[in-house]
Amino acid sequence: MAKPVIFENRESIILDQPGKQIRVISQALGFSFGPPFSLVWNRPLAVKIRIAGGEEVVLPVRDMTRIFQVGILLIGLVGITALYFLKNNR
Amino acid sequence: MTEKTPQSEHTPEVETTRQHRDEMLENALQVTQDALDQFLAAADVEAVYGEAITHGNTLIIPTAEIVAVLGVGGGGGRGEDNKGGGSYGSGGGSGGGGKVLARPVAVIVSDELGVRVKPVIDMTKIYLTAFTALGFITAAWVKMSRKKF
Repeated sequence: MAKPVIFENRESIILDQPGKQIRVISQALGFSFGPPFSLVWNRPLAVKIRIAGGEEVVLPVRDMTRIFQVGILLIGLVGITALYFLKNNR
Repeated sequence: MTEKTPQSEHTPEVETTRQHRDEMLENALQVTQDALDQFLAAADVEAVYGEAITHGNTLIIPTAEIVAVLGVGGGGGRGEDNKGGGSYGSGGGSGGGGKVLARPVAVIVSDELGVRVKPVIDMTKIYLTAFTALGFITAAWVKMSRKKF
C-alpha cells in the first residue's frame, strides 16, 4: 500500500562515463488517501555534474514560465494596491 | 403481517448474490489499487526527465513538470421485494477519472562546452497571465473611479 503523503527528492543517473557523471534530481509531492482521491506533483529540481577529480557542480532547473507568471501577478497586486492608495490620498 | 424469519436472510439465492457482489467489489478495488499504483509512478524521477537524446557529442535531456490527479467513487445497494415474494436484488456501480498534465520546463544540454540548463518559456501562458492581471487592474481602476467618497 502506498504512503498517504509523499514529499521527497529522487535521484537518477542519466550519464555515467569515465570523468563525467550526470545525475538528475526531481522533487515529488503526492497525496494518496486511498481510492477516493490522489494527486501527484512532480517537478525537476537540479542536475548534479561530477567531473574528473571528484568535483561536483549543481545546476538548478528553474521554471522560468512560472517565475514570470508569479512576477506578473505580484506586479498586478502591487499595481492595484498602489492605485487604491493613490485614489484615497487625493 | 408476516414476520420475517432470520433464516430468510440466508437462502442460497441470497448467499450467491452476496458472494457475487463481494467478488465484484473485490475486483473493482483491485483494479482501483492497480490504477493507483500506476498513477503513483508519475512521482518517479523518470517521469520528469525524458529519455536522453544523443546527437554526435551532444546529449539532450528534456525535463517536464508532471501533475496527475485521480478520483474514484462507488456505491451499492440491496433491496427485497416489498410484496413479500421473497426475492432480493442488489446493484452497485463505480466510476473514476483522472488527468495527467505535463509541461516542459527546461532542456539539459551536455556537449564539449559543458553542461547547461536551457529554460523552456511558454510565452502564451505569460501573455495570458499579463492580460489577466491587466484586466484586474483596469476593473479595479474603473470601480475606484466610480466610487463616491
